[in-house]
Amino acid sequence: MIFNTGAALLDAIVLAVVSGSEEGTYGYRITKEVQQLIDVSESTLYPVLRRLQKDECLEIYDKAIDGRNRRYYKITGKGDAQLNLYKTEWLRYSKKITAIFEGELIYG
Amino acid sequence: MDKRKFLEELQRQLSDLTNEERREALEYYEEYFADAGEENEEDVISSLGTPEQVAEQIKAGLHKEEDGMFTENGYREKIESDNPPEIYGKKAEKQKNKGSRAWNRDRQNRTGYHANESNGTGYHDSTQGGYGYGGQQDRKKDGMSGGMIALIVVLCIFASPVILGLGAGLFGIVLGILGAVFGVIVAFFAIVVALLAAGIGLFLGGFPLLLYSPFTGMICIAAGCFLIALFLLCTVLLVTVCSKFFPWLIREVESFGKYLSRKWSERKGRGEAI
Repeated sequence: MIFNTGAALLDAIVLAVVSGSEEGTYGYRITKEVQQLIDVSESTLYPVLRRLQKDECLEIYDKAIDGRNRRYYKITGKGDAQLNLYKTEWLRYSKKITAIFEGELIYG
Repeated sequence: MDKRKFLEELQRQLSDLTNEERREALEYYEEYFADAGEENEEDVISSLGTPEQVAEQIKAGLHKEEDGMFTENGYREKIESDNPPEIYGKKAEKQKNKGSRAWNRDRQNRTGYHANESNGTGYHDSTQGGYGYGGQQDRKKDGMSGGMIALIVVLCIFASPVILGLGAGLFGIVLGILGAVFGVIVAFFAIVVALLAAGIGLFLGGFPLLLYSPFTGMICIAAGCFLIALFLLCTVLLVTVCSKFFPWLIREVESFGKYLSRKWSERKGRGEAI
């Protein structure tokens, strides 16, 4: 990909991916889903998940699976609000960029 | 490297984190391996990068807030790439003032080395990463924030007792050596002058002595001649020393000083890099 993904956009993508599943999702699956959208390395996601968890945008719970624990990430109310903010901002941003690409004039 | 070795090495690399952070990270990656399945173990390891790189990213994530960028080459940390270029920027200025070519070469080498090293911190595409990252560093050097300048100033103030103490100590040593050398030179001059005076005195004093004690007078004249000869020899020696030894000494001291300050800045550069 030519365009770099800033920290905010990556946060937004991760929040969107996690919010996509009702009962939450886990690290490996989040990584695979994010990788289908943007080009990030496998080790990129852990720090992001950890930070979002610390910022209380994500909550975690453990679920026993195949005789071991698996950590699930679930979006919180705060995370939802944050995601909505990101969505609004993205819409504003992408509209402008699309407009200039398509030759529309932008004032102000 | 298999999964167990990878996790062990990762644990070692994370040893400076709190127990909680280390455990969280290790559990995450243990689960990650388990979820990927044993058959994908090698793929996962090769796409994660080295344990060092993974650890670097974990630590970077704990320290940074907003400014990083996730590129196709991995995560690019702003904080980390900001510091070294500033140091190099400062150094470059200093070197420009000195106008020494050797120094500039040295700096380039080190900058290159550093770029490679940084590149190791979480970049998977090393062929692209190196140059791109170097460019990034250069660009960021210009945008040195006020906060960073203030921080450097404060650091300099705090370090000043050490710097001043060391500087004064070194200055004292150099001054002491110069004083000793100067003392020896003065003593040598005095000896030479004394030789001349004694030689002339004995030579001239010998003639009146010849009248009533010819032997004593002849010995006096001979001793005077000997001392004058010694004086001439010493003068030749002194002139040689002054014209050859001193320029050499000055050159040596100069290059030693350069060597010291280069060592110092190298160490400093490396310290910052780590």
